[in-house]
Amino acid sequence: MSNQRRISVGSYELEAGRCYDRETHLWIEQQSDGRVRCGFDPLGAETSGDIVAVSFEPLGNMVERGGSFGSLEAAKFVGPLLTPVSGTLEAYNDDVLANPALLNADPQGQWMVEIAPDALDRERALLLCDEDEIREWFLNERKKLEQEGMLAT
Amino acid sequence: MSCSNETDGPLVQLGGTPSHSPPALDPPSVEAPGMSLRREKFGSTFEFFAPGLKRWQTSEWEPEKAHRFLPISVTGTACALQCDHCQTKVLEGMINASNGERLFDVARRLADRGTDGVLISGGSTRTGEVPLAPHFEDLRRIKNELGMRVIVHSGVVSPTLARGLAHAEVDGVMLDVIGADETIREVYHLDLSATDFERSIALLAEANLRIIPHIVLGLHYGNLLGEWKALEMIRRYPVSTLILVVMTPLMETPMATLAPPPIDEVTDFFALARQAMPDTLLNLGCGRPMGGMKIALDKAAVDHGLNGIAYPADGIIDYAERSGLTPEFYEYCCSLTWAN
Repeated sequence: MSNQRRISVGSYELEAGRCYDRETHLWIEQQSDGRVRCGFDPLGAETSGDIVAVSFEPLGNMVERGGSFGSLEAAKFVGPLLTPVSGTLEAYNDDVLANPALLNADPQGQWMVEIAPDALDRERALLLCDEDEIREWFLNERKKLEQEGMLAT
Repeated sequence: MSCSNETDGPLVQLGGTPSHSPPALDPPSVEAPGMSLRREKFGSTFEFFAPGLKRWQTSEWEPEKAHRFLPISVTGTACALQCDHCQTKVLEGMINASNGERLFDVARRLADRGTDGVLISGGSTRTGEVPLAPHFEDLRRIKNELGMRVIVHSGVVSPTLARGLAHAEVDGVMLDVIGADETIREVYHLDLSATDFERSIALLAEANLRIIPHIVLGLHYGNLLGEWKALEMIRRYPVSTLILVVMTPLMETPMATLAPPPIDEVTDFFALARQAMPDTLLNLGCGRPMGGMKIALDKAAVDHGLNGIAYPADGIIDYAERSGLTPEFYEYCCSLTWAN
């Protein structure tokens, strides 16, 4: 992933070629086999605080966009992980399960689950995939989170 | 990076994380003395709290108004103490009121968005006091003009600070009470003693302020050391609610790699505190380790007759009900026990 092009937004670097979910601060990236990987964007990881535990629904489960594919326990966030896309849960990242803090250390490099999407064309329109739109949203989101005290200034 | 492809089985989890349906937890067959005492003194109500200090929900409870009660730091992320436990990590999640905007204006902005209570906190000066003095008038205005509940973190209290907080008519004052000089010196880096902390409580009491002391169990690098003395000091004064929290190793601090205190020592302290202060509300506060330890601590808090829990682990509300208690829910700080 480190060879991918990046979008610079202030002090943050976002991977290009991904779509970002405004509601959950999760990214998705389609793989060559059609599956979609899903992970936290840097603001999602940072505003969660130190992540100490993560759990995922059983593989093979169907998940609907907005539904839970797992749950997270962190210093500033405890609750469900909501999927940006619908589909079948196909795999999870063992490294993240064994060491959830990886999500804080390298949110762009660490995916959580792989989903075989069943409505990606339709649901992609609900996500931010255009670089300029991603940049603008991320800047505004950072400012909002700073004002809300969820992000250190 | 690796990838698993099992297709069946239970929820994959690590560290005792909550699943989507709460785990069934069985109450003990024999009731602990603390539980009997709390039933006698306080009845069967058990209070659960979920302030807006973090985004939080479980399968048992999803708060409706996440921004109702928020923390503000008057120093931003600055702190002269740099104590070994926190090193400003706790301040990072607070709203910054140190960038030139008046505290009152910060609070008004929050009030406009639906917040009706604030915890005014901040880093400490070199003498262990949170620098609230420049904000006394703003604190008073936040309470009287905006109608907000105002709780403050005082740190070590001077006569001037106690008088100023009384003048500001704050709803309550929270401070961590430390009973071991070694902990004050080595963890907090303060040239003070336990006597100074007792004096702080006394000054707040003299000023007729509502006192909400906290004891951080295991603050001495994961070991209980001055906690019993702290309890002795606190019980001499008319405190509103005693909040027990448990040392949580925070990443990127000198305590990051330490283990939290042993569960049995912590739960023994719950039982002792209940017996030592039978008429005082005792709550398990939001600072405590997560995962499996949190479940054990929360169960013990119910078993040993504490009155409430902030951010309960998944399954604990059901556990309290099956222990014969009636849960009540507050989207507020667990120090605000008098406020309904």
